[in-house]
Amino acid sequence: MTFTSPSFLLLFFPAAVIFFFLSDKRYRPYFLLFASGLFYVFNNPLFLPILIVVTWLNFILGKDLGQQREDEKRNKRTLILGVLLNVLMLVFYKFSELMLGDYALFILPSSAPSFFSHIMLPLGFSYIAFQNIAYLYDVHNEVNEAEMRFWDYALYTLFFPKVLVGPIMRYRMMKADLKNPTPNIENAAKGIRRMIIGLAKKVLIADIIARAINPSFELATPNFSSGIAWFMLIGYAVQLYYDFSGLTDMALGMGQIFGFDLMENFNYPYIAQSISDFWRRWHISLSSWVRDYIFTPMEFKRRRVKFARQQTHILLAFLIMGLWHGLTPNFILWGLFNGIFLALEITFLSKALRKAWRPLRHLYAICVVLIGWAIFRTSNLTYAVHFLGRLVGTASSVTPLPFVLTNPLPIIDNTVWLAFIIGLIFSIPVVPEFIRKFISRKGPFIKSVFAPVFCDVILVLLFLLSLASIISTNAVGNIYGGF
Amino acid sequence: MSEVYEQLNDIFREVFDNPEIEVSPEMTADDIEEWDSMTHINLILMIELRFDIEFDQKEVMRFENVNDLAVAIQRKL
Repeated sequence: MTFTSPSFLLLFFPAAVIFFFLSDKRYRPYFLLFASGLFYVFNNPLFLPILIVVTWLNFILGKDLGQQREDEKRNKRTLILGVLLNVLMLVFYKFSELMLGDYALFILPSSAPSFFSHIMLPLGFSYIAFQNIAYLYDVHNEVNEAEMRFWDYALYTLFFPKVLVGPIMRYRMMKADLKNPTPNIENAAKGIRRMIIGLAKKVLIADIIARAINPSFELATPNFSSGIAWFMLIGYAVQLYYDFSGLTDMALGMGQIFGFDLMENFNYPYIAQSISDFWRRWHISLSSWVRDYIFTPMEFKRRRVKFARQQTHILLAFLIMGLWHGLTPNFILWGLFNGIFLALEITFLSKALRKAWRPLRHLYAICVVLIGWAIFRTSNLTYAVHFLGRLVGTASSVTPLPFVLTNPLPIIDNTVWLAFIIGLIFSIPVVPEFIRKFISRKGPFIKSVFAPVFCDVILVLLFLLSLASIISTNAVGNIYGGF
Repeated sequence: MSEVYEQLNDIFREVFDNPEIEVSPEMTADDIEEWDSMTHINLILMIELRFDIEFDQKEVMRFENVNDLAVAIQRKL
């Protein structure tokens, strides 16, 4: 059950909201915890006991860190134990994913993968593990007090809106809301609007583009023309952004409905003027986590090191960023690729960029990001290299299929073009800003009555379209899934 | 205390490569464009070297503005 499953949108979530608002204020946090547990159970019942155990372990370690402050050595050992617990579980989870994937065939005999398929690590554990680590670290550093009530800590960790795609929340950001979520009608309305926008972004843009370009990425060799390669790359950039930010919008919208203020994870990343700027706009909760819990502590500890100190720490931090996504070479390479450009920027590139013509800065950033996405998307590095070659027009050994002919590639039909173009337009703030300014210049009737109503009508239409798209795809998926 | 601020002024101007900076107690990282997580450590390091003091990480994490920083420096002198 994901945020775009019909069972979630039409049953689970509406029921959760209704019961939440109907229940007494005192019981609302418990209800949310119950709903979160149920969300896990609907995904896989085995997840819940594992999560409860891990959460409880982190909770008692946190309590220990908060209560045993005088013995610094012991405090440090407890912190290391807690971090190791989460890291080992995370590595185990990532490793099993790896074993179940393509790499299993190259590393292990064919009997091995079936062992790993019995290992079910919980949905969203990557986010949960990082949250736990942040919490333990913050308690150790006295940035916040330890949470004394298991139920509140459990809700912090397992709150279902942020379990699928984050954001990775710091404990002190959620503390007040955990004890006493204060929903109100206005925020609930905003939340619903945000959820619908997120749903539309995911289903009407990301998924449509994905269906068109996924098969091409799954080919053994990229034997298509450079036109198709460019379409795939830019399409993927749009798809990834709308997929991730769409689901994030849904998460934040859900949080708002329940009275929680979850942090923003995106800020128009594709208008970045440098890679440093990009990482302040993309997956903000993860990049700030890596900055605060890996980069800054290392920087502080080794601050007296003279040679290439920051560059080393940046590379290490981004290596971890890559590994968080998966243990495969493409993620590691992608992480290091970003790290190298960041290291170059703090060494000399930033200064040079500041003097450059602004469009060049945007071009530089978008080129680096796109090359990064090519590495990120393709699990096979040979494919990636040939794919990048295709972008600049190098011919493959096989005659590339022309742009018009799409067999065996799927048809890039008008729906896909529409999704692609709308996706491109709204990935920069120009059009939304223009619309906002346009409306603000109009009279009070248009501003306070017509525009909001018109927006809500569009949202209802988007919601219905999204639902229709989900249900029709599901139907198709089920038919072909049977073969 | 004013001596501390005077030295801080020099340090800030050097670390952020901006001769126009004037530090004030309420100043935070939001007020200086070049002040981010990267330059923050350089700032702390230079302060430690100039004043011949040492901070521990917990202290540094709790600084919210220049005033907190100045008070911590004064205490160590």
